[in-house]
Amino acid sequence: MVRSGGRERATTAVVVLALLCPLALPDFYLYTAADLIIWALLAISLDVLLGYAGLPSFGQAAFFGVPAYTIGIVVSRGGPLTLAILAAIAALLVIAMAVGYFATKTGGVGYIVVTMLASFSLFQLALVWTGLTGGENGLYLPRASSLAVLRVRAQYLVVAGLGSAVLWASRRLARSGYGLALAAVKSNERRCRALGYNVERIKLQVTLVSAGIAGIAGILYALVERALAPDLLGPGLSTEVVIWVLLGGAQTLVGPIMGAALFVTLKQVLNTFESYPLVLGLLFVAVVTWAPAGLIALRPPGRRRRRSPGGPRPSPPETGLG
Amino acid sequence: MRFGPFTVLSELDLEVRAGEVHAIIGPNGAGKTTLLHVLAGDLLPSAGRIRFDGKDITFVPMYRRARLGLGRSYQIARLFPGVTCQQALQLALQRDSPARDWLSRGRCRLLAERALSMLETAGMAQCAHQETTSLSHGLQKQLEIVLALANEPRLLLLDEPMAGMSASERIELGARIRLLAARQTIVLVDHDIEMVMSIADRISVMHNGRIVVEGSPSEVRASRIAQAIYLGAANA
Ligand SMILES: Nc1ncnc2c1ncn2[C@@H]1O[C@H](COP(=O)(O)OP(=O)(O)O)[C@@H](O)[C@H]1O
Ligand SMILES: [Mg+2]
Repeated sequence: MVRSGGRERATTAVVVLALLCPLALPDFYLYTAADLIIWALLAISLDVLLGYAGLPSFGQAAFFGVPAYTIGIVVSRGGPLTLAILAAIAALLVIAMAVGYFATKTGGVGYIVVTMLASFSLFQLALVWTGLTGGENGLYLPRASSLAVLRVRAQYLVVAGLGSAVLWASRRLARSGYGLALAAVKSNERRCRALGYNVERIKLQVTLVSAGIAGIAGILYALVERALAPDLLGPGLSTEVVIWVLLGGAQTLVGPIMGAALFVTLKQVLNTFESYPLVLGLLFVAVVTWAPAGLIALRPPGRRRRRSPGGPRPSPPETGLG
Repeated sequence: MRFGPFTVLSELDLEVRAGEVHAIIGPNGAGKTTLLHVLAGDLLPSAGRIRFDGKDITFVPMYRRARLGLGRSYQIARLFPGVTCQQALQLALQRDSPARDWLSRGRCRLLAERALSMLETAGMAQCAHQETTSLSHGLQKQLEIVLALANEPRLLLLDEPMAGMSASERIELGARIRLLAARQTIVLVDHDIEMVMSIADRISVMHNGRIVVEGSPSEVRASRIAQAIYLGAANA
């Protein structure tokens, strides 16, 4: 709720760095960077939902994997890319509407259950319906109908450009009157109703927005990575996204981006150890225990701001969200 | 109104006339809060009808009742943790503009300014940037009323607005309610009988989920039943 200059600068720094990468790095790193941006988008999608609106989606991978798979299915059958993208958007809309409707309707813990179930059943479906999805083997997009037709730098720029556009839009949303309504729904649903807000509609809307962001990430993933597996829809990834967001610091956008980058990178680095999930798990437990507001809330000890004993820090007179 | 096997309101017939201040008094547990919940749409009655302005609103959800002009304050001030007073008021004000206006920066700034000036009018400018839940109890109850009034409701339901306030705060709020009464229909639930008597046009006395006496302040004051119930219970 309280806007700080430091976070403002951190955001700008992240965006600028992301955009400058391609100028300095060899191709291999560009792939990695593009990957991180895609995961960051998925993290943002959940932060909008969980961080800003307080809606605990444990099925975010469904919104990521469905459009990715749709693209794969259309393209691997020789369909043109534009049709594939349109179909992906349509499929995402159907899934997001259905999941959003039922998750909102059941509310509370029901939101977790419905989203998790969606992710799990789609994962199972992708495994079983081999004719459509390739089952365990997954799908592979032909080079010609993916971003691989572009040079690596151009591919990266597409991903980075879309990524920063989404980040910018999400920040705008978070700080707008709409963000204020989300904060109010998160903080006191009943009061929102008493003030005349249609809480269910707001929840459905923000679920759709979040699904849209996750969908952009999914589509980019399909077009850049080109290899699709059922894991992209599954509860494993869905849960991991929740960890990214909490690890980095919910309701900050930048925190979840950092959380995703850190977690994914650590996973790759530690991959060689057999017990690496344990290490990641312990890291998560440590953060939740000692830095419950996430890594982004940590400051070097010398610079830690003293809180005034009376009430929270003042925030500027605008909507002051973000 | 029933909660499972417990009947909390029964055979209750309440008519609030436009323009009046209608007070509801009664001992704790009489069902006053429950009645306001039912009127505002917080609770769905297990039987009976509610009409507002001639329209049947029994099954109209709470948010739409608020939009029809039903404002309310809660007995227990539990506002918006993490949201400042100014933001809360801005939230109340933006309700009637379409969602796409919520995204407009200019529009938001405008509403934020209006929110601030409304807080100034209410004498709460110093709280503008404080979190709603960090205010003192009395201030939270005051903010509740400012919030409820933001959209100029036609009917205002106040649930014990003075409970937990200091004597001077009570007097101040009493004067405000009297001022409001000139423009607004008000249903006022409160324990401060003297205050209620001096503000209300009509008073309903509730006991065990029923209205046992209803009339003008002087009628109620004279009623033996009201004295027995109210004073008896209050002294118990
Ligand atoms: N959710 C509930 N479940 C069961 N009983 C309730 C509930 N809410 C209120 N009651 C009961 O209803 C009665 C009336 O409560 P209330 O309306 O709060 O009274 P008042 O506001 O007049 O003090 C009380 O006996 C209370 O215990
Ligand atoms: Mg009560």
